[in-house]
Amino acid sequence: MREGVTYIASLTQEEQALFTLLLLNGLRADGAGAGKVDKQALLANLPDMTEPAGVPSLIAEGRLDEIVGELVEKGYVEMEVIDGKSCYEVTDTGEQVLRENRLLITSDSESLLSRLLPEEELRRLLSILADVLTTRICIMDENGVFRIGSGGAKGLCPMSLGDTVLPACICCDLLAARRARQIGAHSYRCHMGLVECIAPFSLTGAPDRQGFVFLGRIAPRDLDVAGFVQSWRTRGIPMPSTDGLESIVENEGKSEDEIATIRRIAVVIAKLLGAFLKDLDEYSTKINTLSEVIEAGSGLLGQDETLAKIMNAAEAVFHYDGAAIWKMQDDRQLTPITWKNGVPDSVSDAGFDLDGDGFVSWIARERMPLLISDVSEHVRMGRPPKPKYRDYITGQGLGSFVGVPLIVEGILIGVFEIETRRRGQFTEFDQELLMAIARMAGVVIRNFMLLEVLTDISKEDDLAGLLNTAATELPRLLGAEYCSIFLFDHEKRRLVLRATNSRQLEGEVDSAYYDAKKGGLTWHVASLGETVVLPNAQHSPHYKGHYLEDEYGSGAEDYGFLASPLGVREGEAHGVVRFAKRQGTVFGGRDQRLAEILGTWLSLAIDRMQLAIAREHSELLLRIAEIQNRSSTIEELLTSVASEMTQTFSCRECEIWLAEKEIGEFQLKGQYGGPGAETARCRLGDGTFAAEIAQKRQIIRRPEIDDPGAEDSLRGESLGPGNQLGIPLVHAEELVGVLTLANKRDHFDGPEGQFSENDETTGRIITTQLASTICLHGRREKLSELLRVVDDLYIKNRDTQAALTHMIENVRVAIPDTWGALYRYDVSNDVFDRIAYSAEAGAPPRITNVGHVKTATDEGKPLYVSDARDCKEHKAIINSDGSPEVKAYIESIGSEYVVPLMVVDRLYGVLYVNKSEPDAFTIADKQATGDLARRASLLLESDALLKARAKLYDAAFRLQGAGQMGEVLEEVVKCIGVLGYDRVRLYLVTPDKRELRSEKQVGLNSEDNVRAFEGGEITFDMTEHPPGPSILAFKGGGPVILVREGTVAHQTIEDRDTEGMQVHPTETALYEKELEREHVEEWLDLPLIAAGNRIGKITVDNKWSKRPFSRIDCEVLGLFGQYAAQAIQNAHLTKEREGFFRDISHSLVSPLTSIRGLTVMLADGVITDPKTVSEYHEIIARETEHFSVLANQILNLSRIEAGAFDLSREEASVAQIVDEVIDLNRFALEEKRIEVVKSPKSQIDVLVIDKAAMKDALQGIVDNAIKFSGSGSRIEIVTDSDGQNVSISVIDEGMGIPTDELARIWGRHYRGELAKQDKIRGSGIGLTVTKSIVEKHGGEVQVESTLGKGSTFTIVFPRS
Amino acid sequence: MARILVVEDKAEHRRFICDALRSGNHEPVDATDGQDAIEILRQDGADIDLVTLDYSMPRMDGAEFLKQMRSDPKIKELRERSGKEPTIPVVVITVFKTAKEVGEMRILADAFLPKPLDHKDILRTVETVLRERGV
Repeated sequence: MREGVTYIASLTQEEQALFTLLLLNGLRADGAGAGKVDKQALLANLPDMTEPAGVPSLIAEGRLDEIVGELVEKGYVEMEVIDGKSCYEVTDTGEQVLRENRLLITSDSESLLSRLLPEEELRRLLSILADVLTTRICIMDENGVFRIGSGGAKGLCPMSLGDTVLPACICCDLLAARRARQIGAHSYRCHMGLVECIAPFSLTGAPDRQGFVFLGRIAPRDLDVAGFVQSWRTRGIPMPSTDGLESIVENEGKSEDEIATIRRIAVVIAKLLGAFLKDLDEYSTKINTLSEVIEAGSGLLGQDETLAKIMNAAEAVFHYDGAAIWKMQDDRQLTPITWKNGVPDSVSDAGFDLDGDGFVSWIARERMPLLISDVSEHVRMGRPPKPKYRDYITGQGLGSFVGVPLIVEGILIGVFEIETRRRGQFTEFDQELLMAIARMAGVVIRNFMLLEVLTDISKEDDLAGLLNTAATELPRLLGAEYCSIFLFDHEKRRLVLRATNSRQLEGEVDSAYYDAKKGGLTWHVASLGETVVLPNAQHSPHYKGHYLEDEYGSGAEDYGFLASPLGVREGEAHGVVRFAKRQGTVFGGRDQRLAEILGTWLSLAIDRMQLAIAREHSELLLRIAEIQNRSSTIEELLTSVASEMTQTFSCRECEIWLAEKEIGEFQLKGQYGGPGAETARCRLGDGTFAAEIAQKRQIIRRPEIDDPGAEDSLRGESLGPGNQLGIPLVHAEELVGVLTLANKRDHFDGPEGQFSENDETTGRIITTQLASTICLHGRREKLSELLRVVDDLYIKNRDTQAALTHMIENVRVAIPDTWGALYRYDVSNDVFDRIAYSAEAGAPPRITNVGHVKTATDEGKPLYVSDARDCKEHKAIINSDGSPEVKAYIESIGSEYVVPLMVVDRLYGVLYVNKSEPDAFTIADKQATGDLARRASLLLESDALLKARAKLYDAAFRLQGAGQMGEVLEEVVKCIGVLGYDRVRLYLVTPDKRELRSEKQVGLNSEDNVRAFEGGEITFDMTEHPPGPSILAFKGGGPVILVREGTVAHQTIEDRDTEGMQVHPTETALYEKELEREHVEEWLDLPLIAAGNRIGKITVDNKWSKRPFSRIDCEVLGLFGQYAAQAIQNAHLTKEREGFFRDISHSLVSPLTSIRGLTVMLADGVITDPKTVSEYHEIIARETEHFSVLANQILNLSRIEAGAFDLSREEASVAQIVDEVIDLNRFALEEKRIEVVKSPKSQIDVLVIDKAAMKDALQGIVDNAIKFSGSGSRIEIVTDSDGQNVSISVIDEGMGIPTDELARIWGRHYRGELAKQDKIRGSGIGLTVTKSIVEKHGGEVQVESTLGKGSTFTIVFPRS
Repeated sequence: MARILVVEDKAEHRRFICDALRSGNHEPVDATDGQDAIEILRQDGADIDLVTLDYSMPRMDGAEFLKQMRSDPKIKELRERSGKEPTIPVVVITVFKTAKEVGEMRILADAFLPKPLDHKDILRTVETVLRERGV
């Protein structure tokens, strides 16, 4: 609601005041709002509205808004702001722009209207009128209630100021007020809007039903409404003069004609309303009548019917005694075309002369209406013009006369007059009314006149006749002096003059032409496909000198021109009709529209005629097309065509010779009935008929052959002397061959006939098609030959450069009269580098990606520049470069075809094909260029793939060379640089498989040039649910392209089908920092999968080059990912294996050191003390035992790994096994002062197990327990049996195992993190062996552990 | 006759090395790991003529031991006060090492003896080092 207030506030102070005034008074008058608001209080607060000084003070106090706001809030008025925005918008420049001018103010006033007229009737009438007049109509009744009839305004509010009815309604069309103020002239008297006409109705009496008709918008201030209403009330029926009305007519956006019409219609409505009120039944008939007139005006009825309706309508309105419509004939005579009540035959036959002194002649001559209310008075006073006898339709009794000229679009077409015997019958209102009707009638009559002319023209049955008649008749309709008609010659691509009414040009018909080179108005119209009005040739430098002089002599500049295209289809006009007339009577907008209509009609007529001609030959053309489809060679095609031709032309022979341009000869390629040998040749100037046609390049019709005898002898039969018809086969100005026909006969075996002019026409039509077929056939062959050579060059040597060079150097072979250049796209610099070009034309070595090439590559489709001469882009290049070479090169281009070289979505380059003439590319040229471009794209893609593959192999080779993990990761990252990506981040899965942590982040310019990578390490939580796009990409099977949109990552797969993903908080946070700051829009995620395990991920992006990712990237990186994953996995295994062997060797060397050292000392006799010797023996024995345990473990492991571990069961006791194991570790236990406690919980029988293996298994656990136990701690070995299973638990007080490592302790070479930190020796194979052995016994090893407190390992296995 | 600190975590090996040294009329002092050895040297550093060192030990490994021994001011002070060379000669006795570790040991230690070995290897090397260092 506040917007409504804003709206008000945006009005001028004056407007605001008036608005409020009207609003408040409207409410008061209406009375419907009583009780809803304290009107008294409201009004008491208002300053004196009649006092001008009061208004500004109201506004100054800022209370206007409040008042209006309150009114709105209380529901008295409703301001509807359509679309919820302020009606006025303030633009950047401070200008107020009206967005929507509708403001709805409701009240109960609608009901007031029902007092005036039956709703439906009124609505019907008003809607018809409003639509026709495109205006708004308001009606005010005697109570001052206004009604918007139609036209879209909604506002409605009765208004009065005391006793004075204010003739205004709030339709609130403030747009009108604005406009009025903008144009200045009317603003001072238009505060709330505009009124186009006001007229009282009830002219025929009925004082109880009187009112005003308003057309247009709201009342002007300086209309003395009060006085007007007063006089109307006191004097009954006032008759305001039209002069008075004139001053308030608004012409906002309307022409004088339209305003006049509106004014007249208002009078009509007023009159009809009055009549209606007097007699409702009669009135409805008249409404129908009027609407029928309007309907007739829209051209729905025939001429006679329409004229009859107009006459009837006039009779109903005027009650005339006689009426007639006179039509201008030949600019001199007025003859009646319809009349009522007896125009004498003599009059209807002879008509009036324009120079006559009678009423009708006077009206026509003066182009003025004539009202003589008392004819006898007029005569008595001796005023001109004189009533002629022939004006007396009703004889001597003529009392009152009204006549108006029928003028349509400035052209006088006749006179409409009405007469009555009563004197003083007609008034100025009748004159106005008649003018209104005459206007309708005029349009109708003009339309019928047009139709008549056009029908006449259409009667012509050949094209030349049609065009000639059109050129003669059409200028009359436009009041033009000259008319020329041009048709488009598609072969030669020129507009040829085909008909004209200009004497000067008569001789040039069929030869004068315009083309792209000549340019000019006519060509311009054809290429634009739009009608152009050229008021003055002299003042239009664009067209000056463009052939106008040739057509109109030296006086061309004295003419104005109007040219309209004929039959525009797919942007190409097939002709132009051009009118010219002398300056001073220039062509207007109406002429333009008419010319367009005529142009359309003419092209339809031409179409119809050409269709008729074509239909005659369509069967033959179809047969040729069919032949073309089934013929594989040109010879086969031409032979079949020759046969068809003899049928069509009823002749005996047909020969088709094809030009062999290279040697200037013609070879007979197809014939029927002729004697020529298959290899027959002729050459220019050798005197043969074919050579003569080729020489002259025109159709030659010969009644007789030169040497009948020779023909006869060749033919071997006597047909008598034949006649010949030779037609050159020309396509796109190129002579492709000659077709000759000979020996015409009307019927088979009948008498000889002669080739006729019709045959020439038929021949021309058919051979056009044939020439184009031959030409295209030839071109297709040349194109495929060129492509074959290009392919050969590439396939044999993989030499893209050579292949493409050959293609471009020979582009002229495939596409005549062209040159070209081919560029490779350099994505890093966004430029195109020349690969190949036509040497004779040259080409810039490098092109930046702007202008045409950018348009073409951005849109991914070819761009045809039909006229490169006028091309802004090219001028810009010349201006910016300025070198003479570039200038010369660019200026040599007439038209160009720019084709982006793309495969799927990847841009590889661009192909230019140029011609020196503008608009010179035919469809075939474009197709051929497209074919070349496709091949070039594939070659460039293939080249790119080969290069990518070479890089890939290089990368893989380098990876093989790296051994250590660090080296491998370094290499992987460098390889990404080799592959041409800007930045890489390498992630590895953490050992606990919970995170994906980035190990390397490197920016790479190239292999060796490492650039800063600003982003730090990133760690993804792999367990997060739901997973973000990066984790999804990691979990996927291959490379995935991710695109950032804001902070949302979208995944694009394969063909870049985007699969939208939800914002993922974690990843968004990660990327916000990195990608947004670094302006990376797109990146590629590559999971590293080795032997089915996801071990990491590589993310690459092109931060600097901005090169988008494509399928090739996915393919190349997909393969690279496999190599990289394998290399990383290998490095990982190598590391593990090295550690394993190192630990194993350590474990083996340790007992060996004791054994060897002590043995050698004993052997050398160094130790002689018997006690020491005995101790030495004991140590040696124990170390040997230990060594064998280790050896056993290794053996066991290798057997387990080889899958060849078999149990050799024997009887054994668990207790014994435990004792033996404890004994085995005695030394280590003693050393660490570890106490071993045996806790047998139950008696265990002797079991049948692999004792040695079980010992190994227990040793693995005990060894482990000792290793991880501190000095002086305790190890408890608990043995138990529940009858089914036996269990041996080893409980230590060691450091314990972290929970996350528990699952991995069984791994082959696993050594705990704590073990590594504390440098505890171990082979890392003990537990692996234990697990395998126990499982082999059908049991399992359980482990419980508390970090820092100790672990319990339990071997559980079945008793048997 | 030299006083030699034997740093060895494995009891059997410690016993063997000590007995071997004794057979050459040297006086072994034993330590079970690097930490132990540093403590001994701080007390008795002036009287130790040579250290035999197992390179892989729990708690403090050989490399770490060497670093600490050579930078310990207490040991240095003891040595200087008694007019002995500040650095104590070191013979590393350890199992197979990677080339990298061997290189490292060659720089840090006076000699390197791979396990397994016999008493003659120990005596020969120890005596060579003592002679070279003029002890």
